[in-house]
Amino acid sequence: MTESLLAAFLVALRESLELSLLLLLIDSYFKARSAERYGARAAGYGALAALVAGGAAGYAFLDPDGGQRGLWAFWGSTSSGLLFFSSPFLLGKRLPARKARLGILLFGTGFLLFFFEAGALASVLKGTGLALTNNGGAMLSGLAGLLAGLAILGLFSRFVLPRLDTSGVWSLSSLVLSLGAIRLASSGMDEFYEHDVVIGLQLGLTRWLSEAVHHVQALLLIAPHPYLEMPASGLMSFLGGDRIAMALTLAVIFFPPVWILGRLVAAPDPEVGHIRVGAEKRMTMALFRQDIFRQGIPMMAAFFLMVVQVHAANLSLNPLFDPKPVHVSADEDERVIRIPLADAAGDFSDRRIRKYVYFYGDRKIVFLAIQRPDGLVATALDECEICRPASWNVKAIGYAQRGENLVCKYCVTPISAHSVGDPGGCNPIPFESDADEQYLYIAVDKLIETWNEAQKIEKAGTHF
Amino acid sequence: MERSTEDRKGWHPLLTAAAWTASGYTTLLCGLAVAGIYVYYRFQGDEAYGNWFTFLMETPTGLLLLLVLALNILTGGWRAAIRCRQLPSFTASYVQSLDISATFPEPDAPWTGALSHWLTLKGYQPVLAGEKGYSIRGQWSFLPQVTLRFGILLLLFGLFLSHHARLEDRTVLGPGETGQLLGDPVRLVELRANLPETHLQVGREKNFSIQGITAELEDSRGPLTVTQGWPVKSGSRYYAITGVGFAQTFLRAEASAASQAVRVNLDVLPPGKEDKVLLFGDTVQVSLYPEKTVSKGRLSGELFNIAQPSYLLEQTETEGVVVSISPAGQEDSGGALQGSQTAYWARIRAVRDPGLILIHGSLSLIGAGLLLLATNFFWYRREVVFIRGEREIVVGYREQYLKKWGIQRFYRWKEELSMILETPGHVPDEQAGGPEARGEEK
Repeated sequence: MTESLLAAFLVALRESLELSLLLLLIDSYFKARSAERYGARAAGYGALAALVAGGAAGYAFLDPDGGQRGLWAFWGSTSSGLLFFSSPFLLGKRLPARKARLGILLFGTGFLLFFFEAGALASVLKGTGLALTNNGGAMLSGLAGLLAGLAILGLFSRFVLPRLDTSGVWSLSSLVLSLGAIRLASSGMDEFYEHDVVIGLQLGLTRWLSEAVHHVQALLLIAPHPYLEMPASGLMSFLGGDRIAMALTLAVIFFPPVWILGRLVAAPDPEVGHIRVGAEKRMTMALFRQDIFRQGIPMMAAFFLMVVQVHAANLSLNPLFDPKPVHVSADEDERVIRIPLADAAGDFSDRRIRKYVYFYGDRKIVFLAIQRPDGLVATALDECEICRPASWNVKAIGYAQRGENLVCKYCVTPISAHSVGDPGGCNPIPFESDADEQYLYIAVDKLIETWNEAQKIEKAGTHF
Repeated sequence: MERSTEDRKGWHPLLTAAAWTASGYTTLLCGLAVAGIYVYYRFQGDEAYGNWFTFLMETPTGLLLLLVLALNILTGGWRAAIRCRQLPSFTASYVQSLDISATFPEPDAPWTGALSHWLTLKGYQPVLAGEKGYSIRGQWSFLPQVTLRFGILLLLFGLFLSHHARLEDRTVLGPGETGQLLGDPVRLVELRANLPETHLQVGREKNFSIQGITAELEDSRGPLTVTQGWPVKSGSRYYAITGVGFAQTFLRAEASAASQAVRVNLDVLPPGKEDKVLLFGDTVQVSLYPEKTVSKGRLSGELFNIAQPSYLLEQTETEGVVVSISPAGQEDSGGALQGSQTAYWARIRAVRDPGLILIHGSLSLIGAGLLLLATNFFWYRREVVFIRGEREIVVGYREQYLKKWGIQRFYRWKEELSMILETPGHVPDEQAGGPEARGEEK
């Protein structure tokens, strides 16, 4: 029970720290703009109202295991996206001077920033409470976590923020961009959200694009056919493929920071022609460039956050598949290893890499097998002839699979699945095998011979 | 955006609202966001595009969004054209509203000639009206944008028409046969099926493909040749080939009478595909039977004879039992059936779609517009305006795009202008004849 309560505390603390970071940015914006100082308090109230409202709504209406989670997560992600993508439209805009309008605006921003997260957190805490049959305990732990996070915010705001020179850094658009970027990068709550916005966007775009291209082909009466070659099928397949979807995702994700940064850099240099003193000219230009640099910091930070996010999404969508080697042994007279082509773990037609280990005395021979796109099952040692990691890095020996192809775990060279079984280069060292409808047959002496040859290369030091 | 808001001052609120709806990226994005959210909420799950497209084309909300989008595209293009073609106004406020302007003391000597000459050297053709004038370059630079917008507009209209008015029909015809397509008779005069002699199927992934199918058709408007590629237009119809297969005649071996021969169209391509046909009263499952298994080095696969196909016939009522293997022209193993010469059939598709020609045209326009849009990197509106004030000359400059470079170019011009207007009789050729005068871009 203690562990679960601690987990509830940590989840709330983590969310509270994220919230604090957002509030800090807002606070720093208002601190840097003394003319709009009155907005800080309104922003604080807006955030507090959104937190309380979101928390109450999440606690009351969100069943921790219920089906509305997807919809709630969708609206949470949409609110982050709205903030992020609305930032280019706020270029050159300032907060409204009238307090009523400002209040509405800040409450709206607070709503977008905190409402859904607070709801999700309340629902997770409620779930913990139900599981422990200690609702009060879970809520108290959560509340403690929240307060701890906010205390850190308070300390930072009181002692550190005043020492930071944030003048000239913030504009309304760069603030909103930063808030949206942090929201997108934090990707909601792991305990609640299925996957983050970038992954959702890329998967959605991939599917949408592929369907759209098929629709265009059908519209132009050149729909793909099982065996008739249709015109422009290669182009259409490229346009509807995941590369274009990825490129579109990148274009969409990077549009706000790049656009705002571009507009910033496009500001004309100050006119210095009339300044007669060279030092004064240089000073004017230097100040101008420093100003551009300072204003560019939030955009660069948002850009960097998005790069990390896209990279993480890419890794998540194309994870390295590196199965643990399965122990295999030979038949009674130690001549043939027989591996079923289909077993409880699936069959070879899924084109996923399989790894096996054969113990030859006290030596361990790790090899892999994969069905190539042409249907042939290829077998090879889980090592190559070219490079080998140092002894402290033995885990990097061999290959993993990303998508259809293999990747060397040491030098990250991609190996086409078509060429597995062919010798040379960075390919895994192949050896012969046979297959029938049911089994893959590997001659033990062939396997050992190939492995011995590979060890000779290693001993001769011809590895890099 | 700010200018357009200013333009609307004094308009009726409803008119302002309509103008705001029909223009502005905010509206467009809001519309698309609403559409996206609606679709997510309404159709969570598969067929994301199909549901989105149906929503846009068939529901009142979707149609309203399309209308807003069309208006947005139309008014955006119109405004781009108007802005590019617009002549400047000779007021101090207009000149000062340009990207950059500068004021120079008016010289005692006549100065318009010197200024015009200087502008000409810079590549601008000045238009003078007394002691004021202007020069505009790139007044037609809106054409790429308008081409693209018009293409998109046409595409939307074409999609709408195609979605609601497309009619289609299909029929399977052998050479010499006549069928009905969209209510009219169509005759397949000749079919040239350039099938490969053999096909080696390696692995499970189908790698069979055919090129060069040609059908000579005859419809009410006359003969036409249809290939497997782009559809062929005849009047308001498009014809395309959507499949070919074997038209196989089977004979009962023990009966010599012609009435015992049955010709069936077999849809068994690509090799491995199964078709069910009625053969002498029995439902039979047919597929191509491989001639042999071939090994080439480490590869092995099944070799199908496509020129003289063999079939695997399985009686579906007696599940899984192979009744016969019937190579063309040979008797089957049981001696009950005999294959005869192989012919081909083609599946012909006829489509009547008033929107398709618009879609073809719109895609061409969009492609052309996108290519032309690249020219806007160096082809855009630039205007120089000068007027005489009380005792001064005001010169203003604006570039449609790349404003930073334009403003910085004007910084350099200012020194030249000062010199020209101080001594109007002297034009400093070495300075005036800069890169712009030679038509180069900075």
